[in-house]
Amino acid sequence: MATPVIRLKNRFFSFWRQDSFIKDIFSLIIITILIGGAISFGLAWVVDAYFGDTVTGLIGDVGQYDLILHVREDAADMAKKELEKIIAQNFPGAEYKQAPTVAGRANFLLALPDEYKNREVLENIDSYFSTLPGGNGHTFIIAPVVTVRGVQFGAKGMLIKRLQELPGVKFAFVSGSNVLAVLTEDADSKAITQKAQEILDDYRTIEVRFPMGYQIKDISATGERLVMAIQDRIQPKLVKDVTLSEETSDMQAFLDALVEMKRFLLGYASEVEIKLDPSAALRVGDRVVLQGASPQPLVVGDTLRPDNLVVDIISIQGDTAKGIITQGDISDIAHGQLEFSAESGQGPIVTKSYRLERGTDIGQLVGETIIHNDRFELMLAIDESIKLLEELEVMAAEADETSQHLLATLDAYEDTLDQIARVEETLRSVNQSLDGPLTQLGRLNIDELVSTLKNTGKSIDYLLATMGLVNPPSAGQLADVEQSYSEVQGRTGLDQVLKDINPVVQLLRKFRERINQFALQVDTFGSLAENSDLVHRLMQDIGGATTSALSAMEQVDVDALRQDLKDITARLKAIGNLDTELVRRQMQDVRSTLPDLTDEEIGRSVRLIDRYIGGEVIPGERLEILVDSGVRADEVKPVIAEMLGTEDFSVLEAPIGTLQPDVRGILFSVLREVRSTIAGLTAVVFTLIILWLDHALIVTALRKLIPSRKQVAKGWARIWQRCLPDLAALYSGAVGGTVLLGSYLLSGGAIPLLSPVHILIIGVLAGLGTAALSERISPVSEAEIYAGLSLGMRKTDILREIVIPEGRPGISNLLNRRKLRFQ
Amino acid sequence: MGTIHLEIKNLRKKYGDFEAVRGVNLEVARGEVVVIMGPSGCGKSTVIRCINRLVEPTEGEIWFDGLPVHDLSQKEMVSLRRRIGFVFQNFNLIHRLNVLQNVMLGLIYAGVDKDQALEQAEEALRKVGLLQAAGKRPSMLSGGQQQRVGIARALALQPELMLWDEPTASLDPILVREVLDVMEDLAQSSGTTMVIVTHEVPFALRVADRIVLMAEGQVVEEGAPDEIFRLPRSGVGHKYLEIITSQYHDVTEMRRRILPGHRTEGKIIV
Repeated sequence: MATPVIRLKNRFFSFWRQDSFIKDIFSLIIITILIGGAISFGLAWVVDAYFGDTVTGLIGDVGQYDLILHVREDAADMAKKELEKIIAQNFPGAEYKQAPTVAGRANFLLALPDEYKNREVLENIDSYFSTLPGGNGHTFIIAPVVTVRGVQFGAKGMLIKRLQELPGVKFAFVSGSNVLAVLTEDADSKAITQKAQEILDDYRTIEVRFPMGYQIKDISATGERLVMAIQDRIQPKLVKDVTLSEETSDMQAFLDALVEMKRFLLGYASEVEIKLDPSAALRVGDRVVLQGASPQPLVVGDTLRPDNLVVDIISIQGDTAKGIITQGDISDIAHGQLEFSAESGQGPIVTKSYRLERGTDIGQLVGETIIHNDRFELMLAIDESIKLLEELEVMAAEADETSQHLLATLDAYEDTLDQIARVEETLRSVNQSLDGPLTQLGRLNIDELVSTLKNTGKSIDYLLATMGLVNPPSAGQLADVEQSYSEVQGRTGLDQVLKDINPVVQLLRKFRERINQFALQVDTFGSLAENSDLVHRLMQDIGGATTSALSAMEQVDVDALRQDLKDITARLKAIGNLDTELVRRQMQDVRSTLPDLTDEEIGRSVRLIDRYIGGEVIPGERLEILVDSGVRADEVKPVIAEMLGTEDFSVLEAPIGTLQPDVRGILFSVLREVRSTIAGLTAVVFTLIILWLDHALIVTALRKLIPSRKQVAKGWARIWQRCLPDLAALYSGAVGGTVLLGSYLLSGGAIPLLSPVHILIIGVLAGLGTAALSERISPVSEAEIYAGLSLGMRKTDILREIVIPEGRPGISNLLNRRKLRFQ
Repeated sequence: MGTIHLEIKNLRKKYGDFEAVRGVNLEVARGEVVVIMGPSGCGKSTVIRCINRLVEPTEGEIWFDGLPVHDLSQKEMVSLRRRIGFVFQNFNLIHRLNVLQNVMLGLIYAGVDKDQALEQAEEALRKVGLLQAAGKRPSMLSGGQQQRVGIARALALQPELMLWDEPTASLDPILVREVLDVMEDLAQSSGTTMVIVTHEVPFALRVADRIVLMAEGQVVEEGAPDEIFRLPRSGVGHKYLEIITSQYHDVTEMRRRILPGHRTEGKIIV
């Protein structure tokens, strides 16, 4: 007994063996699906191949080229020559090809040798091709690559580091706001992409934005404080200030330069500080007016004058507002408003400020304004330093001369000391001779003493004469030298010399007077014997004076003083050797490099820089914190508010970047979609054509060959019965759905937003529509059908021999030819 | 009357709510020529088409040579139709085929050997006088010729029963003659049972063994031609009589005027 499977199998083969039109229809549908699928696939493939070739022609095969250099079309020939030169100089072995010109831009495809495919080269690629005539940028098409686009400014360094740690990543580099990870040839791109996404998911950036014009003086310190505050309060796994992270792109360098320029300008701008009146409701971004150079005091309600000062408020802390001058300059300010002269740099300008309303009207008083200008103070300091340099040169020379005199004086001092010592010696000898009767010998000794004293007197005179240079007037002069010397060298010494020597000088003067008195009195002696008492008293006086002088002079450490003087002399010589001219010239250069800008020019420039970099990086107006993905913006906001003492900011939370397939991948993905869509649409069109060419005829014939149902129902049931499609319509719907779905799936079609179920429904609807219009699309001669029937022909034979050959040329017509008895 | 070749019992046909045929009963003897006449729309063509079920009857029975036509399957009908020739009012030729192919069509699909079919087809064409036009397309022939091809096509199958559905209705009067001549020859010489629907009174007089008059889907009168046209019992019969008397004195004169010869089998006496 045959099993159901065998029975089914037998039926199947029996069906295909029998000669029936149903078999013809099945064959037709199968062949139609195959042809439809093939045509749809083929057409889509042709389109895909065409576009693929076009793309390949444009940007080469995958991995063939690494970047496209864009140049202006008119400069293409010159650029080509220059490109060859650049390649020869910088990238020997590189190949290039001129790609089609698109939209006025000529394109050169460049394939770099492997040794040049590294981060350093690719990140600085613009610098290599900066001399390319008509250069209009470049596009990386290096492959295989994983691209992360829109990477947050501060996260690039970290991202590159993480990406480079992934196996299969050769290196990663920055290109504009993108980070590209270049993969090894055998890398699993999909896996790396997934891992890159996981890396991106690990982080996010918290961006703190302040109102336009809001200034944070030390963005770095503020960022650090914020990081610490977040760390303390939220304790995330990662928190890092990336506001000022290193950026390698030219644009970033340019932005950095602009930011630095802004900081530089602000450093030289006049600082305007307003002590706000309690009633003054001033906000960041408001503008205030100062009298400025105008001779007329400001009056509420008046109109702004060109010689008034206008200040833009950039920050408000408590009752103090700060701003920058955007109209006028403080050097023009009316003297009536000055507390000190601006030109002298000796002090701030104090004046009143009023709110500027509607751009031109003087509003209410907002407070007392104090203006500082560091630029003026710096200029003054440089001028003074230059003057000091000139004085220092002269003073060094004078001090050296003085020092030499002092050394000579010390020599004289020592001579005097020796003389006085000899006086003491002589005195001792005289006194011994005077111990007995005053003899002629005694007289001789006294004469020798007088002679010695006279010599000593001369030495003292010489010493005093020498020291006359360092008498009080000269001491003042020395003091000046000393001061200058101390200022320059930071050392002391001469004051000690003067301090040590001056008391001795006073004592020597007295000793000198005593010697003169002694000599005078000795001359009056008639004989020693007659005046022995007087002689003894005189000898005692002079002896005492000599001992005192000698004792005082010996207390001065002449050697130490000489050494000090020698040191001072050496230092002074060193000062004299300084190239003061060079220093002066450099200082004058520094002075000349100070910006010759008015406050207005500085203020406007700062405003312009802010506007230019408004969409980019604005340190001072924006902080960027890199955190782990567990940190939320709403958690961070109160921390920032508490730290900054203001809520005038917004906090944004953003991913650090978005993965995107490489450009070529996108392009080919689009092409694949286009191919699928074209295949799908072709299948739809093919099905419609087939329905119209083949099946409309069959539907019409079926309606004539198969008697219609008997209309038995009445009322609503009859209406319903009429609405139901007839057998021929069901056939048409089934064929439409089957052919379309079959062709669609076989061709690999995929129309966006349409699932296979939708396609099936569309096919069925197309079939039903064809059935509804079949009589108009493919009329069939009823007379011929009746003729066939009357001749005893089977319906199959009628369809094959009469109906289909009379129909439009379609697949059924082609297939039917072999069935015809009469060709 | 000989053996009954065709019998129709209480035949009814509805087209939606319209009942075209309302209980027609008819018996046709083997070799009998029955002419069905009646005004347009009386259901004559429907009746004749129901005989070989080109039109499916709604109700009633049709018996042909003892076969219940009304009960036969489509497959059985295919075989049956090969025994019944049908000549259409509008010729119903297959335009893509030439004259010979048109005539051979039924034969080939009836399983006749090709050579045999060709022979039979040529014979049929010879009978209708169109052998010389065998290779022509139907569109190249006159209406009368086309109808003769249609007749040849029916004859080629050597049918036991010939059904004629107003074969001259689409022809202009000049061409009617040639078709009627062929029909008349066949009627007189073939011995085939024929059911002819026509408006041609003289033709009916000449060939009919029996005339059936229909009106409003029903048989209103039937009988021998002389009987029908001499003493009609129905309104339709009277109308036909009026037509005859408008041109001739009576049926006898008409018969004398239109029939120069006479039937050898003695059915119609001239």
